[in-house]
Amino acid sequence: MTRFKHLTLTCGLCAAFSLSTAGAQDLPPTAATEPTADAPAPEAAAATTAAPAGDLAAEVAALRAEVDALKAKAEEAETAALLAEEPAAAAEPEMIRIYGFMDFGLDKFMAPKTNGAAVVKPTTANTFVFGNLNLYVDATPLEHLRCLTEFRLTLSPHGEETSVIGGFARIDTTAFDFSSPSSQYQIRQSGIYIERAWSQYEFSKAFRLQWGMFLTPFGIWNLDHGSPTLISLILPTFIASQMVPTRLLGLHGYGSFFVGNSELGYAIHLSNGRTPTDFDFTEDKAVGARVYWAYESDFGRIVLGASGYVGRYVDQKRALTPVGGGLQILPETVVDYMEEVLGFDVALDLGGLRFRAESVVHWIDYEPGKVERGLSAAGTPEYLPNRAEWSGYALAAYRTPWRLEPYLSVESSVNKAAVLPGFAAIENPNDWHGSQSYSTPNSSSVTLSVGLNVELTTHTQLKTQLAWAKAYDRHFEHKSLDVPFLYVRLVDSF
Amino acid sequence: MPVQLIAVFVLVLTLANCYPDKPCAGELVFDDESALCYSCPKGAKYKNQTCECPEGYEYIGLKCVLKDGEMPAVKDAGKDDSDAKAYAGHTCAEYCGFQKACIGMNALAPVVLSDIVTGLHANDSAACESACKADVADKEAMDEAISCLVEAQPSAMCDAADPQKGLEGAFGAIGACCGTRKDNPLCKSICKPLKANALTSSMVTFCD
Repeated sequence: MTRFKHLTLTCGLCAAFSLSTAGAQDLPPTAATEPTADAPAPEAAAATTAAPAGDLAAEVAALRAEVDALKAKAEEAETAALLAEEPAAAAEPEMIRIYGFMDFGLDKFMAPKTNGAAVVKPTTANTFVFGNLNLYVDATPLEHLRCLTEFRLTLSPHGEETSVIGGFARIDTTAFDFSSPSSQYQIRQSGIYIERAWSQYEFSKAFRLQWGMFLTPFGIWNLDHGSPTLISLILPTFIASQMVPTRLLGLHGYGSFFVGNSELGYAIHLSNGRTPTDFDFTEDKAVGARVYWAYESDFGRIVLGASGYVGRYVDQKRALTPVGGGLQILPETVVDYMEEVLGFDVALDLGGLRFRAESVVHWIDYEPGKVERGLSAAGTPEYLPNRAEWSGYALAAYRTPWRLEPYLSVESSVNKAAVLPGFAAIENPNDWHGSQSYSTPNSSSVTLSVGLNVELTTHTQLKTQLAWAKAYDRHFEHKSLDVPFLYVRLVDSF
Repeated sequence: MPVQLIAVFVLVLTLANCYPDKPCAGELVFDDESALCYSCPKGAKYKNQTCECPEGYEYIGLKCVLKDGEMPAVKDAGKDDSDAKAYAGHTCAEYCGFQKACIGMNALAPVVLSDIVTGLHANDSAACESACKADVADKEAMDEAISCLVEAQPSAMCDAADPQKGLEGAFGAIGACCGTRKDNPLCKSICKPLKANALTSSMVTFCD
């Protein structure tokens, strides 16, 4: 009976582990590893045949050790599963669960103040930073219905520099705490950022329908999303610079099915697309899709994917406009462009070795007279060009048996670099030409980095990344920035 | 595996070379140096993704400049001279209007930068015009610094509610116009009082 219980536990833990590895930077399961209700996972089946018959005590001891090891593994992977798009929770309906992660760390820009780094960050000093504090509220009120909301609690916008050239200005959210018995006590108001909020109905594994605000199914990284599951601390440029909108408001259908050892997956979405507010100012909706092929065998697992997005961005202002003999408040389009984004990704797991590579190309085509406009320091109007931007990265990491994961990554991009409003030229607020006026398309970059992730406990990781970023003009000829920087984060999941 | 990795990048780099048909939308022209698009200067007409300047002028550096050996057009009395003004028609009076609006009438400048106000004749239009004409040797219509400062005035927000912002807008315009024209006599005259003032001397690096 005892043996039976251990075997059951072993199978259960193996199954849990198999499911939990479906997390973001971990590859999704295939038919070979995905357990079903009536069949144990292959690892569990192997475990059950490993002990010799006859020596029951030795067998029990061996099983116990194995169960302990598997338990540790399962705990380790539990958080990744929770943070993933398809956690094991879906299999066991629960009313509501709350979980999350947080990270804290240290930033250091190792560059003289005068080399241009001040444009990027307000300080080059060693500074502790409060990173992410994300909370998930995950409800499964019915067997096939799931509602997920992810909140990021942030100290922003306190400290946001809003003007530098036209006089220095910074947002200060400090307020007196009038409810405090001490009248001098002050607090800093903080912000809540909704990362995603969707409901989902699962018709089958081959078709799930989400509605609400969802992470754009584009490539590997954007869905990985959380700091516990990401290998590198630095986001890829195509995500940081929003070459593809990272979250969308609309409908999202996705699913996958198996053909032998291969898994074929897809995602399609219809949304407002990239918008300056939460509304869509036009009738035409943005569309996008992702397809991937995953194959798992003795060598490991490979996933090849392609993603696309097509949308129209429109910004408008509203003003009193003479109509007939009177005045009416009417909208006027100030920015209008079509954009297409295409991306390809490769992920490979070979034992402890993990490769990830993504590349993205982004085309933008403006309507005449509706071009994003900025101003030079002399006040000359400057317009962003029609353009093709691209970005790509490759990352190799190795999970050692000692809970250490060193990695190397290289990234290169040619894209519009956003300039903080405070560092851009003054724009007359009465002459609104879109919120994205402050940027330059004459920019490219190369970033090399090395990192080390250390698993301190099953719920705590120490992540360190040393990077060297070089920024150039778009032809990679004239260097404008050359900054080594260090990021350290202690990441806790709970 | 390296094959797939390389293929992903090669494919994207190939696709990235598929630029949109025109680098700029509508009647804007592309500037390769800044990778931005600009409207044609006043007096010039858009044609085939470039600007066509009036006779005797050519489009260089986003401006219509006089061709070698050409003389500036002489204005006909009673004729609309807006085209001529566009590429080389601004006057010392207009430049002094900039100085007066942006510095002379600024609420802060006469208090903390009185020597600069005096040095630039920002509160004395007659003295300003006289000094300006002396600097440009009566070729005000051809002076690039005058043209640049006059055209920068609307965007400099000199009349901002915050006088500090207005002043910084004015200095920003001066920096942008004179930073690339250090040998311009008018710019040299502007820089003199700015460099002499202890408060602004370290800020006006464009004068160095």
